[in-house]
Order: sequence, then C-alpha cells, then structure tokens
Amino acid sequence: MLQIAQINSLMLNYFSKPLLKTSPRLFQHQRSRISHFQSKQSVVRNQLTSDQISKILRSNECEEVTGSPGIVAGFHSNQLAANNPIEDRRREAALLDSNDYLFGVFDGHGGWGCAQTVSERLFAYIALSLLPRSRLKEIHREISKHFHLSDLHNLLIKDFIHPREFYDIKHSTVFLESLIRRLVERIDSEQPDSHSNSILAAVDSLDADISSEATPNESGNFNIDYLKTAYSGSCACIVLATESGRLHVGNVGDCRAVLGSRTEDGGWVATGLTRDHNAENRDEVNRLQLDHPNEESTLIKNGRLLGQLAPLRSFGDVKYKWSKSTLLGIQAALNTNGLVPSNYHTPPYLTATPEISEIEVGSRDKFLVIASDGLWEFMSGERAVQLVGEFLEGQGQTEFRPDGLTIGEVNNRLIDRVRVLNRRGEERNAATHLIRQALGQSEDGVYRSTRVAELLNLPTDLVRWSRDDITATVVFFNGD
Amino acid sequence: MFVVKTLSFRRHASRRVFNPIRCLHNTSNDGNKSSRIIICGGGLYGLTTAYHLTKLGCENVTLIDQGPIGSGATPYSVGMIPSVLYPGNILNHYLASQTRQLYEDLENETNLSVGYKKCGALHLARTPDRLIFIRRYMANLQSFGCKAKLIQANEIASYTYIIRSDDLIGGVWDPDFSIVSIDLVIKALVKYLSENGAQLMDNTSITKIHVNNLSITHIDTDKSGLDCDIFINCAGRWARHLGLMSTPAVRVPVQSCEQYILRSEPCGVNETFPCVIDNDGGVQFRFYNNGILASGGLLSSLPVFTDAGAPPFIPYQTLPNKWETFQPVLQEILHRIPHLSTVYLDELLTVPEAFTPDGSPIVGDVPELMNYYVAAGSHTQGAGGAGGVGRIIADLIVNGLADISTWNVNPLRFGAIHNIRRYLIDRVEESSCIWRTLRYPKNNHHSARKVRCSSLYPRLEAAGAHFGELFGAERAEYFRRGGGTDPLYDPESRYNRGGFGKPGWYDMVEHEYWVCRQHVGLVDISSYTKYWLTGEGVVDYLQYLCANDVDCPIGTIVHTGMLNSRGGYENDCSLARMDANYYFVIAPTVQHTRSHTWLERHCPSNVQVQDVTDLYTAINVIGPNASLLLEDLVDGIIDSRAMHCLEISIGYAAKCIAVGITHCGEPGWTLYIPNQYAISVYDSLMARGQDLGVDNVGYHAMRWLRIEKLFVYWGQDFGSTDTPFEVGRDHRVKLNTDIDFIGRDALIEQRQHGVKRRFVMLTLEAHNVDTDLWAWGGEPVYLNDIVVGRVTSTGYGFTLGKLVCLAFVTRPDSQSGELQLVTTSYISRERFEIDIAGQRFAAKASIYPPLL
Repeated sequence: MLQIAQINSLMLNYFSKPLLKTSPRLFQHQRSRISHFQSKQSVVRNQLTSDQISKILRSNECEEVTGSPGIVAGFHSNQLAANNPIEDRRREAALLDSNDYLFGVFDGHGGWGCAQTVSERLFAYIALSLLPRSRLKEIHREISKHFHLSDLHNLLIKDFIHPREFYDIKHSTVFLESLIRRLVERIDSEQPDSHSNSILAAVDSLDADISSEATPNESGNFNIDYLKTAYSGSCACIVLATESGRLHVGNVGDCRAVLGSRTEDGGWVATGLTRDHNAENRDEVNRLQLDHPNEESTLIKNGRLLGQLAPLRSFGDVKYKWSKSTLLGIQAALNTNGLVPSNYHTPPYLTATPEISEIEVGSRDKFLVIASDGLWEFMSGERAVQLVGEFLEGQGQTEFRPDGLTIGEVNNRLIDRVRVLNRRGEERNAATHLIRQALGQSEDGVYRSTRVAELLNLPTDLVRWSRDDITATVVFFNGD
Repeated sequence: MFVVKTLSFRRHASRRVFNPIRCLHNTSNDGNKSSRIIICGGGLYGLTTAYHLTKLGCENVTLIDQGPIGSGATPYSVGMIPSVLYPGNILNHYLASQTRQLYEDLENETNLSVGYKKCGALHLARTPDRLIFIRRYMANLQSFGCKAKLIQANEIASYTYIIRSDDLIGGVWDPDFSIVSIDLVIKALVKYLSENGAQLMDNTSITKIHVNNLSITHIDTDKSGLDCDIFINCAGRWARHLGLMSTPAVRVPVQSCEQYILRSEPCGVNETFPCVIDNDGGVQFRFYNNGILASGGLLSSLPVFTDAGAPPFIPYQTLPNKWETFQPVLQEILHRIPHLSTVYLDELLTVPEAFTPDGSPIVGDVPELMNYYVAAGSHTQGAGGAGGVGRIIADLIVNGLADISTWNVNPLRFGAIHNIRRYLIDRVEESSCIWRTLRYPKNNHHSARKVRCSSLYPRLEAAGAHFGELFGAERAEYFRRGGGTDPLYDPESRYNRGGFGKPGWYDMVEHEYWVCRQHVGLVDISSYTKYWLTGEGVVDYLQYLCANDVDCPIGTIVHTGMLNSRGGYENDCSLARMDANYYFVIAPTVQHTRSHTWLERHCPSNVQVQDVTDLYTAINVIGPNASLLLEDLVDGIIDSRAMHCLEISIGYAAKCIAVGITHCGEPGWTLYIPNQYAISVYDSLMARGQDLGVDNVGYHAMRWLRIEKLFVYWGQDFGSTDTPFEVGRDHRVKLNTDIDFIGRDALIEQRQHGVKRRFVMLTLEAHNVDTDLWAWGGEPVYLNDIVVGRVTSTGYGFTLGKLVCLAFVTRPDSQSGELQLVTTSYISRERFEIDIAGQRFAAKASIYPPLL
C-alpha cells in the first residue's frame, strides 16, 4: 500500500505541472520505477488474452487506398492512448482538385485542446497558401454568395474521416472567421514562392490566430475555452506529398518522419526527414541562445525550456510566447498564480515556425512513417523502417507459383516466404504492426506478446508512467 | 439425451421378433434381395457397397451421385492398401483383406486392370518409441499370416536406395502392402455394376427424403422420385448433411479436413519402388506415374467447410494450396527422399477428406431409422478398406449380420454429442491425424474435452484426478496424490505421455488397488448408462430380451446379456428389480446409444423406457469396509449380502438407489444419487470414511481389479459375436426354463455342439514388469506357433504379482486348422504364448478367476 501511495504522490506531482512535457530520457528513469510496481500489479490483474490485445491495439486503426495516379498510394494509421483522453491527434487530407495529399501527426501536451484545434484547422490554412489567387477569389465569391461559411473548409480540403474521431470546433464561427480573414488577406497578397514557404506561412498564421483568439481584448475579457487551447501545446509533423512525388516536411517539436527505401541488395534503409526540436539538438539550443543572450543558465534547465517544456518548438503554449504583462493579467483575472514561468525575461521563448525539409521520392522509396515520440521512445527510425519493410514484403506476396520449379526449389522459396510471413506478424495494418512491435519489444530486442499484455493491462492512471500516447501513420508510395 | 419414444411395435403372440428389425437379427432376409436399395454417393464406399449387394444377388440397386460417379474425395485417394489397416485388429484385417480380394476379383470379372500391385511397404522408425509402435503392428501383421519382418536401419537402403536412412533406427517390412490406381478402380466398378444390373444415376441430387413409420419410403431427386426400401448413406463429406435431411435426423458425425498430396514428375523410380511410411515425419510415399506421390500432413490438420451448411458441391474439388503451411510437410518429404529436390514438381493437391471423431469410419445401420445404413468417413483409408466396408453393409442387408464384430465402426458407438458441429470441428482436427501421431496405450484425446462432467468433477479435480474420456464423459483414471493441477491437456506431461511398458501412473494405481482390496475406495462411475424400465409388461418384455431369468425377487439384482438371434451379446447389463414392475438398469458407458436403441426398438406399448443416465451421480463404494461405511450413513438396514438393491437415504440425501455390485468383483455397493445431492453424499462418505481408510480411486485401478478376477466387459473384451457360453457365463442363461428369449435357439444349438472358443485369463510368466514391454490389448496369443486368440484387455494383478491378459482362445486342429471344442483340460494343459511387439512370453491360462 505504501508503494501505491508513493506512486500516487509522484503522479500528483507530475500532473500538477500541466504544461510539462516529459522527455524520453525521463521516461526511462520512470519506467524502471514502474516495472518494480508492475510485478505486484500483475498478481491481481488478469492477463489479457491475445484476442483482447488485438482488439485494443486495432480499435483506432484506419486504412485508405487513394487510387490516385500521384505518388501516394494509400496509408495506414493508428494510435494508442496513454493519456486519458488521448492527447495525440492525426489528420490526413487530400487537396481538392489535385492529387496532392497532406498528412499530419500532432502530439499535444498539457491537454488535448491545442492538438485538436491544430489538427482540424492547419490543413485548410495550408490549402489557402497553396491555392492560386484566382481560385481563392472564386472560393470567396462562392462563400459569400451560395455557401454557408461553414462550407469553407470543405471547399479547400477533403479530410479522410476516421470512424472514431470527432470534430470538436471546426464549425466554430470564430475559427472560420479567422480562416476567411486569412483568405481575404491571401487574395490581397503575393502567393508564397514555394510549397515549403506555403507550409511555413500557414503554420505561422494558424499559431498567430490561436494566440490572438485567446488574447484578452482591450477590456481584458477573454474566452476561457480558447485560452485553454492556447495554453496547451502541440508538436506537429506535417507532410505535403505532391502529385509529382515531392515531399515537403514541416516539423515542429519532436514528432518524426522517416522515409523507408529499398537498398540494392533487397534490404531496407531509413532516411530521417526531421530533426527533433529539443535540448539534445545543438542547433536548436544555439538558436535560442542567440535570441536570448545572457540567459544561458536559465534558458534550458534539466533539458527543458525554462526548466519546464521539453520540445523547443510548439503550437500554442502561449505561456512561453506572450508578454509577461499579458500573462500576469490573466493570472490576476483567474485569481491564480504560477502562470508565468520563472526567469521569464525576454519573451517570446517559443515559436511554432516549422523546420522544413524537402525530398524527391525516388523509385526505391516505398513508404514514409510519421509518428509521435510515443513510438520513437521505443524504437529507432531504422527499426521502424525495417518493420514496415518486412510487413510490406509479407503483404506484397503474390500467390505462389511453382511452375517449372524442382521440388527442392519450391521448398527453398517456401522457406523464404514463410520467413517473410512470420516477420510480418499477424497485423494487416502497418501502423498497428509498429505499435504492437514497439510495445512487445523487450530488453533483448525480441518481441514478446506477454510484454504487450503487461503494458496494455496497466491501470489507466499508471499507463502514462510507462509510455506516452502513440500515433503512427504510414504512407505508401506508388512505385513499380 | 434421448427423448423417450414409445414405439408402437406390438410383440406378436408367437413371441417371434417383429419386422422390420432386420440386421439386428438373423432373420435370413432373402426378401431384401428384391428390395429397392438406394445408395446415395458414388464414391468408393458407395460403389463397393453396390458391388457387394449386386454380388449377393440384390436385383434392385440404384446408386445416386450428385455429380459424376467418383467425383468427391475418391479421385484423390492415394490408393494404398496396407495388409492390415492401423492399428491392426481383426476388423481392420477383415477390411483390408476383403478389399484386396475385391480388387483381384474385379480385375478378373471386368478384364480391366485396376493397377493392383503388391509392392510392399517400409514402415520407418526414427525414435525408439516409434520402433516399438511398429513392432507391435508387425506382431499383428504376422499373426494374420503376413510375412512382415523387422529390419535394421542399415538394411533399409537395400529395399530402396532412394530413401535416406541414416537417421532411422529401424523399420518393418510388410511384403503384402499393395497399391491400386483409383481412377481405374472406379472405371472397373462402374463397368461391373452396369453389366450386372445396378442402376447408376449420376448428376442427380436428393431433394427430399420421405419417412414413414421410422422408415424411408421414398426419395425425391431433382430428376425424379424413387421408392425406397433400404437407404444407404455413402455421401462422404456430405454424409452428415444428408443425415440431417431426414426426419428424424440421422447422426453421421463426419467432418472434412485438409490433406496434402504431392506428385512429382517422373524421377527414375519404377514399379518396384515400395511404399514408404514415415509417420515420425507425417509423410508416406508411393510410386505413381514413374514418379513419386507423397502424402501426409502435420500433427493436426485444418478442418474445412466448417460453416453450418452442407459443404459446397464442386465435382473433383480441390482446395486452394496453402503453400506456406505445406512447407514443413515438404521439408519432411525432402528429408526422407533427398533425390526429389532435383525432380520437377508435377502438382500439389490440397484435398478435403472426411474424418470421424475417433479415427474409424462409420459403417452400419443407424439407430434413428429402421432401413437406413451408413458407410462414410473413410479417414484417408478408403482405398484400403472400401472392399470390406461394402461387404459389411451388404452382409447386414442381405444376411442380417456381418461376419465379424463391427463395433469399432458401428454408428451406435456415437451419441448425440458427436454430431454437434463445434464438437466435430474441434475433435477431427486431432483425430484426423490419429494414425500419424504416435499414440500410446490409454492415451486420451485432448481436444473437445469436458463435454460430460459428473457432479463430482470439481471434487475429483481438486483431489488430483487425471481424467480420461469415454463417450464424452470425463472419468477419473487415477489420482495424483500430493495435489497439483492436472496437466490434462498437455500431451507431453509425464503421466500423459505414457509408454509401451510400465506406465507412469503405476504407483498411483497400486495405491488405489490396495485401498479397494483392504479398505474402501470411491469411484465416480456416473457415466454408466442408466434406465428406468417400468410398466405392466416389463417382466415379459425383459424376459424376452434377456438371456438370464429376470423374474427375481424384488430387491435383488440380475446380471444378464441381451442377445441377438445368433446368441451374441447385443448388450450387457445389470437389472436391479426395485419393484414388481420397475427395474433399474445399468449398462456400460459406451453402450449408451446401442442399449437405448435395442430397448426402444423392442419396447411394447405397456413398457416405458426412460433414460436416466443424467439424473444420477453414481459412486462406486468398493472394498471390505464398504458396508461398514454405509451402515453409518444410511437410513435403514444395508443388506450385507451381495446382489441386493434398495431405495434408501444416505447422508442427507433421500431417494438414492443402492445397488450391491461394484462392477469389479470386489465387495461393495454402487450408490445412485440424484445429482444435486451428490456432493453432499460424497463429502459425507469421505468424512465418515477417514477411520476406514477411504480414498479416491480411478478407473485404471477398477479395471485392473476386475481383470485380475476375470471380470469381462462388453465392448472391451467381448461383443455382438460372442455368446454367454464363450464368455464363461453359462450360469447367466435361463435354458433350464422354458421361457423364450432372443438367441435361445442359437444357445441351445451351441450347448449341444459345445463351444469352440473360450474366454481365458492368461498370466504372463517370466515377464519383468519394470523392464519388459507390456501387453495392452490386441496382442496375438500363440500355441505352438499357431495363432489361437487375441488379447482383449490387460492389467497388472497386484495380488498375483503378474501381468494379466484376458483373451479369447480357440483350438485349431494342428493339421486341418479346423476349430475344435475348447475344453477345460485344453486350457489348463497347454502353454500359451503372447506376442508383445515381436517377443513371445509364456502365459498360464485359466478359465476360472483365481482365488485372491
């Protein structure tokens, strides 16, 4: 009992800092502590059956085949909650009138509000930046004449709807008003000169809108819901895959996108398309230190921004963006304290500006894995690519044809096929496969279903101690 | 459970058997020769049945097939005919020898070749246990006159250079093993039937079966209607659903599983290539089209067509190949014949084959309808047994009885549970591989278990019971003292794995044996079949059915057989007369369907037969202290003399039936307790019995107790072809009265002529219980190198200190081989030998139980 009390007090401690985003390293430390506890827990909790495990793992999965002649053949996506409710979000969408696709994984922290709003709104912003002015004018005309304001989103973008996902606030007038304001603004200005800059512009616009919607007006009033949203934060990894086969990856924070490619000898190789924006990234720390000279000792503490936030770029998190006076005003209005981080000298400390990378999809490039850090704390990009690659090999197996083979050759080929099939595992969804393998991987690198059962069987209030929310989206490319 | 049906058959004044109970009686039924016989299914079983019927003179045989003749699983039969089908008992020898006879005759009668060729076979062993297994099989082969012999590993290559033998430890050469080409067999059978007046209707489906008065009278097909006197279901994998088409439905528990057949291109072997049976690898080989045909599978095969509906009908259907699943089998194929790896593949076939829950086909007349026969579930042994199967059906129809006891293939061996879809699917996955897996004596099935559990199951389980299964019933075989959970379903556990010598559970059974001999033991025998027979006519009815005089005083018990017209035991049971017109009947577990069918079919309107098997929990209280234990608990006086019965209160339970028999020759009582009171009574017995040395006892101990006392059991030791005189139960026959009963005439005749076979008890001499292999049943008994009998059941007699075998023995004339009368002096004078896996052990015979 003592131990439960200890854990509870530790957890309270953790949750009392709502804006804290734990780093993978901290997790390692916590996990060892939890595993000690787990062994006692398992005595009282029934072991999950393999059917139950599969049901839990697959409950959020979705698959889509685009049928598009462009580069994107389809995608598999899935997520597994650790927080309750889950704070990760994902979104996949097609740009209207083109074979361009957008994929995003959004890893919220301090609540799910920011991740939810970014996931719902960002792609429309990007569409705005990408569309030519003539088309925007047309849309504007249609909106003002025939359509209701709420149709605007559907004129810009077509979301893939996940059966178990909800749209919280999409039709909220305020958000749409912001969007139409951006539309008008875009009509009056120059189009960004590249896809990458379009993403850049869109992200900045959205983050600015989230911020401004929450900002108290002249009379000091504010909408508490928008404020909550802006106070929470979200990392994001967005990929624009154009029809021609070019990937534009925008990364904010510590989600990752990894490209999986075949090597000449039939193996798989991983290419990271993002860099984590955290304290382990020297360039990021340097950037911050240049912006905030003379704060070296307080800027990054314990691997965290101002000793609190793990990612060094993020949507929302206005606590690190607004001026001290604004924060103090809100603190006074809410009659609370602790809203201003200590050593808050030269805000803003945080930006949502994404780091953009571009790559041409070659004939050897087969898929792209985008996932939140919940996955990456369990496995490297190389491992993920290896797993999905083997999954593809298993799935891509065509009917075996023994024609013209000797019996010995038949046997050898079957042995290969069996090996590939075994590696694929039982899943039909590559994202589920990744999540299952991530959970089941034990210290010696071997997959153990008992470990999956243990992790899934943790009481809800303890799960967050052993792992983070996991979201994975695997995008498959058309190729030969 | 059975619904009690009171059939409206009236017994004739003459007390002759009423029609149409054919087959169950020896009414030489020449009328059947002109009957309209409809065979449904043009597979091997259907064709051979038609062949034998035609041969026996039936003039009106129609064979219907929903597709072309021989288009189900038949064309994919591997066409191998062992000298004796596994596991090598008399019936399996009969099936195989009749089949070989059929192929030879067919070639002569039709002038068509069926590709029949004696190529011999090598049975290979990779492990010592497998070697024992095939040596036991060899001993049986030899006893049937086959010149099978044991061969050393290094000799194997001399039989065929092509197979790898460096990993083998030995083998058995069977020179009589033969092969046929099934397509040629079908052609020849079709030709024979067409020329001999049988009607073949292909591409005709049955749409409706008309039943009147429990007989099939007419069938509708998609082409026309056909009147029908006798209906034979040979529908292979559709047999179960054809059975369900009639009302009442007929149970034919058959389910399809996948089997693999691989054919190579020609590879330099010729017709001299012997068949190779490598069951350790699950594969077998034969010569085929100048190449090699390999068949086999893994340790379980995948059930197919598992949906509730009938399997689809596609002529010559094969299943999509699952290459990856097949790979381990292919590995074994290439392991045994490495040369094949350079040979081109002709084709791999995944074919659906019909299997039954216990590994044997279903052949005979069914309990549900009067003129309905089944021959189905060939278990991939169709080509090896079809001739015998057809012969049995034809004999049943024309002569009323088969030449041989067919209990192992009889439809009556199954009950309602066996035809349940889920049960079948789960069970055949295991039973389909029964002849490939190495099965030890007393091994149980591990699939589809816990179907029937007695009320005491939880108590026994907690006491460490190891359960075996019979007719779906879980029965404690022995108790592992010291607790622990039972590794019931773990075939690798020490107890379950077993062996061919002294079993792992020997010590436990020894303890239980002495509990029964010296103190008092409790055995849960709830699975025994139980009936209430009541009504005004019950005494007359039972007098006519039973060989013994059943008009005994109220409160006493009669052991009796119910004989068929040949005097053979249809059923064996104990009747407890509870009242003037009320008998409580106890019959063996395996006879559930059989005894019920027999009782019901003869039941006049003034008798009620009620199956109460599931109403009572039965506790067998065995041992010298049994009466002492009961005295303390019963409300009334327990008659200490044996063979008494009464309704009594025991512990807190009223209306229990106490019957003064133990089924194993020991003093004691069997208590039949209404189910809900069972735990209470059991707990009372256990608590009160502490001072008397009470303990749990399992079936193995009970079995060994009864074997040591020459106490024979129906189904294990004797059956429908054995008479009371042969079994040594002369005193249980009322020939000294003038009361008529079924089988009386046959018994009178046999009494006049004397018996030519007797049940004896053989105690093995110079047999080391610890190191020698044991006899487990089926071993041949020799006298001067002539086979005179076969062991039925065996057990270790702890009082005698010897292994005891029960066996029928005959007395063949040393010159002519003709059977002579078996006399007491013959039995006691001669020195018999029992062949255990090729080693002969001298045995002392006796027809009387020893004084223990």
